[in-house]
Amino acid sequence: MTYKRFYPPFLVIACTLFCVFTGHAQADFIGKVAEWKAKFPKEEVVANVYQEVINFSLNATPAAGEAAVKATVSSETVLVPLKDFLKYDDGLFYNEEQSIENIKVLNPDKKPVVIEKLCGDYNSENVFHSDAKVCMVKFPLAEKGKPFTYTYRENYHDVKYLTSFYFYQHFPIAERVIRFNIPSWLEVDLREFNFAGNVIEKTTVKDGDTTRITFRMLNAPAYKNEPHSPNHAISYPHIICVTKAFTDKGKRTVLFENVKDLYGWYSSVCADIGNDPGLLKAKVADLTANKKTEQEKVESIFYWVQDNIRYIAFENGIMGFKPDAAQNVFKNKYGDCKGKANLLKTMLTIAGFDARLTWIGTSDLPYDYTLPSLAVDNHMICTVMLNGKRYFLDGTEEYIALNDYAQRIQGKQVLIEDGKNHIIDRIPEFLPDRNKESFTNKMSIQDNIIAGTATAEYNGESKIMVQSAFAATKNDKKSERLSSFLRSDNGNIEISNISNSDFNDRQKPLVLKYDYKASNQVTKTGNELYVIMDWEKDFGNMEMPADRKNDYEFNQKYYQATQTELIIPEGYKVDYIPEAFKKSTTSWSFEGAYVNKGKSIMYTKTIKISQPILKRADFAGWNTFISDINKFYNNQVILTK
Amino acid sequence: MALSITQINPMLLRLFCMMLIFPVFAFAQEPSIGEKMEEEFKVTAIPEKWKNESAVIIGMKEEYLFRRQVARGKVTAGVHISEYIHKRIKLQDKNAVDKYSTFFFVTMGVDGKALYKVIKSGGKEVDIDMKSAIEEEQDVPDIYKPIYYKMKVKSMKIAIPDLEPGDIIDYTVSSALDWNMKTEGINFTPFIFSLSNSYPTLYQQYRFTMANGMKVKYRSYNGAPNIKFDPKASVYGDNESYMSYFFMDRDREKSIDERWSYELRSTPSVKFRVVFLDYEPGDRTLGEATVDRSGLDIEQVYKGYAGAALYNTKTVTSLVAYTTQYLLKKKEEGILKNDADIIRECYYCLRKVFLEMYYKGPVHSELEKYFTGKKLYKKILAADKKDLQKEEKEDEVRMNAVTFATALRSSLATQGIPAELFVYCPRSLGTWRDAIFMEELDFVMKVRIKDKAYFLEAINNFDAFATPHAYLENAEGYSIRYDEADSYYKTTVPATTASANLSREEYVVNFTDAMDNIKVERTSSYLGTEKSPLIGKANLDRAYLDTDFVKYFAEPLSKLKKKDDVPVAVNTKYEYPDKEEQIKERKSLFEKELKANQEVDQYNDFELLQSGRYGDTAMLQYKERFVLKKLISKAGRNFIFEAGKLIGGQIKLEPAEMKERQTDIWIPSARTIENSITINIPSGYTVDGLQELNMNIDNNSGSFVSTAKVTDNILLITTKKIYKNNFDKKEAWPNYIAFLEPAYKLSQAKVVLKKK
Repeated sequence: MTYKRFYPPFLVIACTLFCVFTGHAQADFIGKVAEWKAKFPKEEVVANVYQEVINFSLNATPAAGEAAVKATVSSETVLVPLKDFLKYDDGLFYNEEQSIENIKVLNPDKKPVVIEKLCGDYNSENVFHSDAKVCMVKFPLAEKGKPFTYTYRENYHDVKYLTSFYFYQHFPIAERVIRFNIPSWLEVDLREFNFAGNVIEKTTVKDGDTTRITFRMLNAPAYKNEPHSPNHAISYPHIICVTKAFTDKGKRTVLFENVKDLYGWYSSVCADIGNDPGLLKAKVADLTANKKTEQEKVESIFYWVQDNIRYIAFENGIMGFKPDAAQNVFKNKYGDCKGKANLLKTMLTIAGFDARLTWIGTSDLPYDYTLPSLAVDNHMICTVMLNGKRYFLDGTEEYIALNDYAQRIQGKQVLIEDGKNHIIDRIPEFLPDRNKESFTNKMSIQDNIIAGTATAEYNGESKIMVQSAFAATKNDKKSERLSSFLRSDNGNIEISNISNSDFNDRQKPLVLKYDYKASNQVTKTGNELYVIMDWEKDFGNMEMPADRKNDYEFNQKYYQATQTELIIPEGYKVDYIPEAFKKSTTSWSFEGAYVNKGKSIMYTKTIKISQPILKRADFAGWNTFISDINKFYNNQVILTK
Repeated sequence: MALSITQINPMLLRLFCMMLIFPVFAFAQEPSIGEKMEEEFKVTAIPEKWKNESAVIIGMKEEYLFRRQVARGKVTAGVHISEYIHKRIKLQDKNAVDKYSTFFFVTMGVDGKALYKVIKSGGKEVDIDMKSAIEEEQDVPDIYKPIYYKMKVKSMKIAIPDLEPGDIIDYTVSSALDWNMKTEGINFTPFIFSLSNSYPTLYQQYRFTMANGMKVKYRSYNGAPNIKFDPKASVYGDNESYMSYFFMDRDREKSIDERWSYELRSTPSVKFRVVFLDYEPGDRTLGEATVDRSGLDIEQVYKGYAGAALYNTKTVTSLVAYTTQYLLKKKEEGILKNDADIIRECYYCLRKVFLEMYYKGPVHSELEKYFTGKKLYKKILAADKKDLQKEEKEDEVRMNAVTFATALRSSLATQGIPAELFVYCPRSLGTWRDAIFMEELDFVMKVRIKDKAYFLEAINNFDAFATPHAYLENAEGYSIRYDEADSYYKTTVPATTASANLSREEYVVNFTDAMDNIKVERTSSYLGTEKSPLIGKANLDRAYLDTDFVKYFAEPLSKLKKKDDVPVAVNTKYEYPDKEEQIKERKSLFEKELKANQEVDQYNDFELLQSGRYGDTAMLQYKERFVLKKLISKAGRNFIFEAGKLIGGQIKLEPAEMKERQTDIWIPSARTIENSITINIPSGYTVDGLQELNMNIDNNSGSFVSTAKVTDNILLITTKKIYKNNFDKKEAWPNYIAFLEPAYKLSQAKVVLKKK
């Protein structure tokens, strides 16, 4: 993602100590250690309490560039080691809009503990430069069961950057508390996400001019980092704090009451990008020359940006929201999503099209624009009106065609600029058919080795994945890697004579044709040949482990169709072919069959995965499905003389 | 009129102050670097043979200038080192463009600077505005580091604009640093590297220009060019001259990534280091800089290393006193019958005391754990971690090498057994003759008895007595004796035999009633280097500490009860609070280990049978019970069982490896891998398809033998793979293909269970 976000990374305990915590006296938890070890196996530290208290303050006379409403988040964590003499590590993130102070740790005797602190730039893998900073905090814990109290305070210089609060952390929490102390002059909307399936108690208490809203969850397990986990916003319970408006001396001032306000702020940030279209005109003229139709012109510009502008992200300060000027991106030949979207808009406008900046939250986020918050989106694209239809152009994609959309933005709401107004629309969502992979094989058996020819055809995400990987591979390794890909790194397969359609073609399917030899797929006993006709066994290894904690996110929706014809060797006849198998749900399906055609056996297989996320609740059904598939796979053909 | 300080031009004042702070070089003719660009850098055409490469290094030059610093007319102990790096690289594909998309650099010293330009395919040169560089708090990638890199310098990065395949990038980085020979020594940083880079290289040059009294120690290997004197680039002065030496290399293919290869022994490589002959301030009588191609001076090695086994500390005293007490007691009991017994038990007793101190006593500290006295050695070899890193085992602590050497020598001396310090050059770096820096060397202890010699690495929890280590195989070096002064002799560590490094796995297999999975009981036994990666995991419960503490217990001597002595714990019990968790963790680790090769349905049990830590040839042995899935396919009424998969993952040579080998073959050690698989054939079935399971390949490099036979409804499959040598010339590669490919084929073999 290329768009600056202000919800804290999941491992961060972004809190501060502003108020006095009174509810959690230092106690000895030795008696609880055994219980917690049983409840949270493999964990070394448990928080008896992790509490965040959010307070708001009004700056009645803000200076230029200063916000009227600020916030502090104070945290107290009572950490209890389940082992002796551990060292506790934490990473506290901050940036230009938020600071961290008063980091303190008290030992079981309430004496201050020396903290090792190392603060500096935070380098995120996909961001070249940002204002994100991290303080690595380290301190020793002592005997197991003896609590350490870890506190700090986070200051939000502008309340609009105060967004998400998560219940889970990287350690288990016996009692998780999030409390908002909302003054009467402030209107706050606390939106709850993924609360279903979690017991979270909410209480509201009026205390003079302050309304205290407290969320409490008991025994929150630790977040587990597992491959293919969906973004935590998708799965984990959290609150988004929307500060709608404040009233000072009888005057009500709107902050983010609805999407109009959010758009208003985005619009103000993008008002002075400083685009100089003049510097792009020649290139646009060059790209659109000789293009017969309007669509061809749009395609030409869109594809040029995809192919020629490298992805390099800058998210320092306001640049996390404001695109770099189009001429800079054009000259540098690099930019992030905002820079590419703005370049596309500028070039398309020069070419005479109605093109607009467009905000979007990718599939990593579960929100839509009914949530007026900076947490709602994380990406920027460009919308172009063509022949009365809106086309959404994502300049960060590679090899994507016009009117085709990556899985990560399909079905997502978009916020399109429209002068002082805005337009809400939605990206089309495609069926798995968009990503169809089809494999056609013809094989025969020679000296117990299967030899054949194959044609593989890739579409949609499957095709883009192959195209991108091929383009990123070193020239001298391309052939080797392509061969390795086609044999799925199976040491029994040899690939030769590969031919391919144009790797750069965005419109047509990618077609790879090749010859292969497969060893160790035929077992000979006397007059019989036992033959494995499908050694790929797609999805056969996709059981979800019993101890997996997170949902599973597939790379894409899948549609795989395989057709394999085995020529029966001279002198042999078919003795046995496995029974056909079919299983289907709304989210996934499998259909496989062997047909004896006399001189050959035709094997067909179709797999569809229609939902990109497999929920934990569906793991049991999924595992039965995979088990059934494997029964079908583990059934071989017998040929006899 | 005298100028008051306030009347002086601020610029002049700053210059004046700088003159006070920085030494002034008062020579008529100043040497310089980075001023000449060779014609080779101007090439833009890439040879046809490299057209398909990702990138090609057109030119690469590194220059170093070593000047002695002068203050008030006198030379000091300071040396001003200037470095100049120039690289010109043609980017030929997207991969290279992405890789060079960001330029990282550090510049040191007041004159430090970096310049960067892009030469477009049409010839247009575009200078990159370095002012837009951003400070990078993280370390710069190694490829951009100057070799005299120091920590805490400001790192910068810049995104290179308008970069596309076909462009040539050209950058220079200049840096300088001051080296105080009094505090940092007279030997500047040593370097060892291959001239083969990640991309093919048309031209590369390394140049050293040095003041009087300096020399560059230099050696080239495997066809790398020799160093030459360049009189034209040298500067002659009345007081100080600067001699320039260089080596250049052309048309070098990119580095080769082959299995079992030591890059420094197979590719053209160099070792170099600039050293100073003397560092007496004011000494101007030193001669002009020269080249030193000599190897190691054994006298220097002796002086540098002999003290390693003579470094007495309170910890050593305690170790030796306790061990001596124990040995005396056991001798009295008649348990130690000969020198071999004493040496072995001395080693184990020292280990016990060390572990007791570590886990229960006062030496339980991070410093003790990590300080090995070999830091620089490790640093210099960091580039070659893959082959050289001594394997760290789970839960391992290792004694300081100097403490061990001294304690072992002293303990054995009390028993009248001399011990020696064996200083060697690891074989990944070369033979003894190839070594030119002390930092290339390492040491272990050597103890000789009659016709046998034991080589003993500093104690850790798990190494059994005289455990073989792959890095010691055929290592050449000198053994320093302590029974007489200035005595040493050259010797080589013998290679271990294939039988000494054994992996044996014995399976008993039963099919489940549903004929979908197999129930397995596996007993695994390991010796020598095969044991190394597993022993730490197998002993994770630390039960061995109880055994050690009891077995090697000796009453403390009263004379040790002085105030300053390090106390030795006398409690023979070790209470491991996390033992139960560690037992679970061990099971989980072995389950993970199994899952790397097999489809595991259930992992039921792990039982340690032998810890592998005692005796002369200590075997690690354990038994596991588990259920494997996806090894059985159905075919009508019959079943196909992938029996071959049980012999574990076998090497499958890549298509490129089936062709000619380019480098010699450096196997970690000779070794034997045995499997015995007993399969109980389910009643009502016969087994067929065994003909593919009988193989016998034997040659000078290795062998693979497998058998399969049915007796009393039991199918017994045995396999034995032997790597006979730890080294072969590349010409022997077909021998390896000859036995590796059948082993892989067997791992894919299936048998048919036919319904009667």
